[in-house]
Amino acid sequence: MSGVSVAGPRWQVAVADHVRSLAWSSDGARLLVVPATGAIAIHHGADGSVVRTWEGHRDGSCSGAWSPTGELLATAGQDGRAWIRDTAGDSDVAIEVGRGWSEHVAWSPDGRLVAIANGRLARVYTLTGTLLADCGPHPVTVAAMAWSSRGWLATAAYGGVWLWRPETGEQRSYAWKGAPIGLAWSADGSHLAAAMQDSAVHVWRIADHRDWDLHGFPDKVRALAWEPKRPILITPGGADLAVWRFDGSDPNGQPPVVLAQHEAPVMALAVSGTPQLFATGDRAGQVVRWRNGRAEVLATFADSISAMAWNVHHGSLAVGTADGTVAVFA
Amino acid sequence: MPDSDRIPVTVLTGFLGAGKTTLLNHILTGQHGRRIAVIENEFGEIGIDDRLVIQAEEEIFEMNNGCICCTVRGDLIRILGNLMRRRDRFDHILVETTGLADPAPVAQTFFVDSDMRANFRLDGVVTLIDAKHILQHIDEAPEAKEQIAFADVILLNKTDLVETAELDRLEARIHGINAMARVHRTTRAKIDLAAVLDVGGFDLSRALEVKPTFLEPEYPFEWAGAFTCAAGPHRLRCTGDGSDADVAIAVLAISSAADLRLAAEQAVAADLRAAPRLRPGNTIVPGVAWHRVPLEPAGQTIDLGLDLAAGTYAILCEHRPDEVGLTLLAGDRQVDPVAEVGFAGHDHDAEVTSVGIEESAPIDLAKLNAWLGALLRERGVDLFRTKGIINIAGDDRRLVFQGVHMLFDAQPDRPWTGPRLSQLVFIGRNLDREELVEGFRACRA
Repeated sequence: MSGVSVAGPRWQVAVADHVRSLAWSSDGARLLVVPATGAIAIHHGADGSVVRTWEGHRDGSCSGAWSPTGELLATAGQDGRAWIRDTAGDSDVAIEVGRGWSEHVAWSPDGRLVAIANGRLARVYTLTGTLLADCGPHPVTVAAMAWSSRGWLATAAYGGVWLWRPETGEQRSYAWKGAPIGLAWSADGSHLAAAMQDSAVHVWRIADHRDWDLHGFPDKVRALAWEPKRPILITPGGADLAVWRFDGSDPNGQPPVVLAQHEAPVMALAVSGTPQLFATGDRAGQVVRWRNGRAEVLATFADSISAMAWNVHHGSLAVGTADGTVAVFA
Repeated sequence: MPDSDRIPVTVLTGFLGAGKTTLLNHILTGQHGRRIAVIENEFGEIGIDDRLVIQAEEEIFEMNNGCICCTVRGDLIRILGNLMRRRDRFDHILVETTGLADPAPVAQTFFVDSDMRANFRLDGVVTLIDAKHILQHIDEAPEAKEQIAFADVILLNKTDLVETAELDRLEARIHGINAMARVHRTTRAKIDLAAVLDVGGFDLSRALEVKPTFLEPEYPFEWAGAFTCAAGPHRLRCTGDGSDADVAIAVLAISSAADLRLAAEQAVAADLRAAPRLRPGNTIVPGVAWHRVPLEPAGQTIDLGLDLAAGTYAILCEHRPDEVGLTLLAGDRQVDPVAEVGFAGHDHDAEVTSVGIEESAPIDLAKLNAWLGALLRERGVDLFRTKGIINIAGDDRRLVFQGVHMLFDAQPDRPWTGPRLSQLVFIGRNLDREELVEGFRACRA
């Protein structure tokens, strides 16, 4: 281990249980914590105190996300429902999305629409809970969903990825023989990356349908993200991280930069608003901050890291664990 | 994660109507003190309003990992991935497959995915069989045979609708396909839950207790009957129907009807191919030897003499008695068997069989890896299941492994107690016993 240990977290609290999602409010002042079961809560970013709580979804909550523009947040769970919560007031909207689990939630970049994945559909709602469009049905359950800065909603399911513009009905598909488990858009919306069940990553360039198959990972890629400015993709597959550049002519033939510090598989990844500054957390509870390719060990928790979120306003990093700890590092 | 911390998973297979729902209801309502999560795939069948029952559609994903038969259940990875995160951990997971499902993808899921492998262990595959209709299914649907071949435990259900002799024949046929499975006869799927939930997939020694002959080649005969005879001359009568020129028969003295299987073991050791061909009127002397009784001309009754002392005798026959008109006569009176056993026919289900191997010499780990690796790569499509407990040279722990098609999972287990005997079982299509035995023997250290 060559990492440098730094000071402990600014604050740390125990929450209901396994942390499914963490999300910072658009002003960076509050942190949304969605545990697998138990209460969903908003904590003050400064000291961790609880601002508000809501009952979790019956049978378990799956995900939560803060609107990019305002005071709303959305959660989805195994009761098949989604909630749009007004954190400034009390005008909450409950949506009966479908019979099966509602597993993923994604806000459009303008904050006017929210997409909920339920079974083979991605259902898109307005802020009042009115169904605007159904994206699908997909051949099997939607495994991941992400909205690009250019307004495309991407969905992934066994057999490929699909792009949708719910307001116009425009649709594209990119077939790939594989089972995606995660999706990430580059910040400029030019590239889409999908992590695959069989320990590979597939990348599409949207403009010309060009695609790349990245493989050789020792384990499946459980988290992936792009750097904030240029199309540089970070893919932890197992303990090591591979960093791929898509800003040149062709990443083929260029081996990725490999970053080694973790000794256990990486479970979560958070990118900051600054190039070459991001953080990773592994199954053994270790959290590492990467700056210009150098590792700093921030902390080691008692259980696996399960969620991470970087506050782009204040530069602080939120970390959640499988045994229900949430900590924020300055 | 230590093996004991991994949550056991039981896979329940069986055709529609075999009794899976009935068994699930027993498990969900039974007083067993375990928290069981059920993932079931046939919508609307379960009448229990229980939060632990999750309905899902089977989503089968092919993997691009160079393994042509490698498929997993994507829905299970997703659902179990969610259950894993809940605070209220389950003690046991039960996965019900649809009636016509191939059990391979669900079993492979627990070998292929690293999270599934870390958090769950496949405890056993339990296959329910409708005793009344299975023969029809075996002959018409390959899935029925696959479900039998994959099983660790088979519940031969609805036995109240079928005669005992027919059940014996069914059980023999099942063992002909899968010699490793423990077979329980049930009505309304009533069974001690430990027999289906605590299978301990690796525990070959328990399978051996149940069926001591399971490492033997298949029996070269189909039937054995026990007869209680008074002293005096008897006649063994056969009538051919034109399909065979002769039939091999052996007559052995046994101490009681309970020794019928023992007589069968003795008869296996005798060379059936060396049996002399008798003529009508010849006399058979009881002993561990085979005789060929002529069945020609077709339709004609052939009698052979048997001079017996008072006692119990086992008569073993290459075919079922009704196929060759086999009867035993004392004077003109027919003697009926007091017990009978059916064995897997040598010409049935030849394409799906089991091969068991035992070896007491220590095995070289590197040689074993190379041999098994090549075998699974080349023959994996035909190998449904592979299991073994291996005596590795220089290691005082048992190496246990199990495989599904091309995938396998091996780990050192507890230290040996008792004799260090390697045991290996293959269940699959078109297995070559000699090739497998020689391959394994070549791995000796």
